[in-house]
Amino acid sequence: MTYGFMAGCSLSSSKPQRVGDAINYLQQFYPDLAVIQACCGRPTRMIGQEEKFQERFGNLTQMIKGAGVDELIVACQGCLRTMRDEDRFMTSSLWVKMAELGLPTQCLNKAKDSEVVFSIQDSCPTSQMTEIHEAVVYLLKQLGYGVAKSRLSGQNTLCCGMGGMCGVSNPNLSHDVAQQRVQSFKTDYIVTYCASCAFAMGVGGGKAWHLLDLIFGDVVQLGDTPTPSALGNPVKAWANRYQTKRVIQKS
Amino acid sequence: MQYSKKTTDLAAEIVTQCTACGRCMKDCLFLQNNCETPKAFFEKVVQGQEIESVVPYSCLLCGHCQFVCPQKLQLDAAFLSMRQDLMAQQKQLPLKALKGVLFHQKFSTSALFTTVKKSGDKK
Repeated sequence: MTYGFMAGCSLSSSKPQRVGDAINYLQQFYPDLAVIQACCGRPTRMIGQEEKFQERFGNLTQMIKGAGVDELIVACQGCLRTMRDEDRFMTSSLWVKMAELGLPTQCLNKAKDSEVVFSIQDSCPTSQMTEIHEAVVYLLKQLGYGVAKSRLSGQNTLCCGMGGMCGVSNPNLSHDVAQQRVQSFKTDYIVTYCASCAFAMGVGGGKAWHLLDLIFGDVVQLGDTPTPSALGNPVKAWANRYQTKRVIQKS
Repeated sequence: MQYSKKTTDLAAEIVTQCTACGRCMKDCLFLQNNCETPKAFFEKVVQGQEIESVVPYSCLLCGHCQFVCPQKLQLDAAFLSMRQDLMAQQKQLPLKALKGVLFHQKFSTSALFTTVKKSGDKK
């Protein structure tokens, strides 16, 4: 069984270092891990160019099969949903995989002295994949963080504001949705497992961390603020994406 | 605007089945801003009435409406199908802003920003 890993566009564009951390982690369990940096083409599909999408997804499928991957571990919920809709190769969610494999020992309970309680912004493309919601709560508890319940979570989650290309086609609505989403949470501290959601929560005036930052980064304490997302800065985002490619090639 | 059979079928299903219960409207700013009820909105689509392109392109396609709908109606699929019709039938892009998505997708799938490290490839 050969495993592959794909981070997805938004994570590669915002956090090259965390992509590297995820690869290092997975390599401990799968030393022959293949790594793919590519785009699933979901935005192409979402703007209504289905034929072009099929061409792009076909290219991705060839890349994955050409790399000898039997099962692709995916960090992006948009990619995962697209891949499962298309159903041409086996996939798993990075978060479910991490819950199954277990966090590195040094991460366990590391936040036990932090009083931060997180609300979870569940990604909308995987709103019906409940095993992901359970895995994320489990991982947060393993880290030692408190988790607040929210009416609009799990299967009942709402979009962060960036879904469906709304951020491009209707930025005003996208902003209002992001703000509404931030205000719907009972705590000021938000955790997401999608880099676009993390960006959107910032746009909506919230304080949001990506789950990989909680796992591989410093413990979040009351009063801390997250680093602003690079997704708001196109030059930085493309530079990051190129840097992620280098990280993968050196991994 | 002449919608495809797929779009009109999806729209007709919503018009027939929607009970205007309001569950999908409760938490969705997009629906709140653009329709009285999905039933009323998709009646306009079935009738081929002119609808601004920005409307179908503003749906977040998150599927929350379908999850809370007692009839499990696929509003997101209907809005996506409207987008496909707009793309296919117009010579220009339905919205200027979509140029950015074309550019973004071209670069995202280009050799410059993609790479494959095959299983077992060493550093």
